[in-house]
Amino acid sequence: MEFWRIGFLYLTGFCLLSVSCESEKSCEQPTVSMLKAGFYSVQDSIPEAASVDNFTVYGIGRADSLLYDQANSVVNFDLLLSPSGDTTGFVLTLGAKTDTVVFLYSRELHLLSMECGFVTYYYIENINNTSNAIDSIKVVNKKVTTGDEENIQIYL
Amino acid sequence: MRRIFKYTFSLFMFAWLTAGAQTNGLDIGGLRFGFDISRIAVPFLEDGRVEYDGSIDLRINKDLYPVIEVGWGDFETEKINFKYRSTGYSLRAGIDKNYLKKDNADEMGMFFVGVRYGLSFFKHESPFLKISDPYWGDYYGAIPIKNLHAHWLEFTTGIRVEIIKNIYLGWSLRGRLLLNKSDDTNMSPYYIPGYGKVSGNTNMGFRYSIFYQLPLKG
Repeated sequence: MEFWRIGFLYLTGFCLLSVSCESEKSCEQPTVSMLKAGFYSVQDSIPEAASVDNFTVYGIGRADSLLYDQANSVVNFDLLLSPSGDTTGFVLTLGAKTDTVVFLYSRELHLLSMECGFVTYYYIENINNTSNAIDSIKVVNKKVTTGDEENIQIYL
Repeated sequence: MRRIFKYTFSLFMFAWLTAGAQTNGLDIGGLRFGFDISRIAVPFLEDGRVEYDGSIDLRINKDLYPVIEVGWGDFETEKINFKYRSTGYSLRAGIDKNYLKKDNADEMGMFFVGVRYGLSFFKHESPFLKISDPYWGDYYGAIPIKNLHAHWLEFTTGIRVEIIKNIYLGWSLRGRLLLNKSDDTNMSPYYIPGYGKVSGNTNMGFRYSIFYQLPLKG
C-alpha cells in the first residue's frame, strides 16, 4: 500500500495544479435582431430584385431620427422593431412617394450566450401598409432574429 | 441515440455486476460515507457558485462498489445586461470497480474505474435583463423561474486511500456526457447542478472527498 500512498499524494498535487481557470470570453456574434426587407418588382410574372433611389425611413414617433436618409440604389434594408411593444410603424419615402408600414408582432426573449446576453426575437403576425409606392408586402420568414435571412419582400 | 446509451449503460452494469458476482460471489463489506471537500473551494474559485456533494458506497464483493451520490448546487452570475441563476439537486447512481491488488478483501483502498447515471432537478431564472436599443429605447424585463431537469452519463476514475483507520481520502476525475436537458425557449440551461456548466454535450470535473467507513462484515 505504501506505493499507492505515495502515488496518491503525487497525483493529488498534479490534479490541484491542473485545476483550470476559465478565461472571460467576448461576444462574437450579432446581438441585434433586425427585420430584413428587400425591394422587388414583377417582370413577366417573375419577381426580380428592385433598386430604390432617394430612400428615407424613420420610425413613427421618431421623425427626428432617420434610419435611412435619402439613400440611393437601395435593394434591401434593415428595420429595428421596438422591443417594448407589439406594434412598430415606419414611414418610408421611396423617390417622390411616401408610404406607412405598420408591423404587428409577438416577442420572445432569447439568451444568445453568457457573453452576449439577451436579444428579442420577433414573430411577424400582420403588416398594414399604405400603397402609394408599395404594391404589396409578402412575409417570407416571420421570425426576426439576429440572422441574415430575409423576412419580407416589398413589391413595388 | 439516447435510448442506445441507456440500454448500453444498463447492459454494461448488469454484465459487470453478474460477472463480479459469478467470479467472486457476494461478500458485503464496508459501507462508506463520503463528503466532497473540493466543493468547499468552489465559492472561492468562482464567485456566486456554491455546491455540496456527498456519497454512499458499499463493497458487495472484493472489487465492486455500488455507489449513490447526492448533491445540491446553486449558481448565480451577474453580467452587465442580465442576471442568471440556477439551483437544484442531483442524484447519481452507478458502480465502481477496483483494480488495486488487495492483500485481503476487507481493504477498502482502491484505484477504481466507474460509471454513473446522473439526474438533476433544478430551476433557473433571469431576475433582471436589459436589451439595449438606441433607437426605440432600452427594454428591461425578466425571465421567471422555470422547473427543469437533465440527465447524463458520467465516467470516472480515481483512487481512495485509508489515511487513518476507517477514514479515507480520495480524488476522482469525471467525464460527463449530457444525454438530455429540458427545453426552454427563452434560455438554454447554463448550469446544471451535479453536471456543471453546459458547453456542448460533454464536460470534465474533479472531486476530492473524505470518507468514513462503517465497518460491516456480511
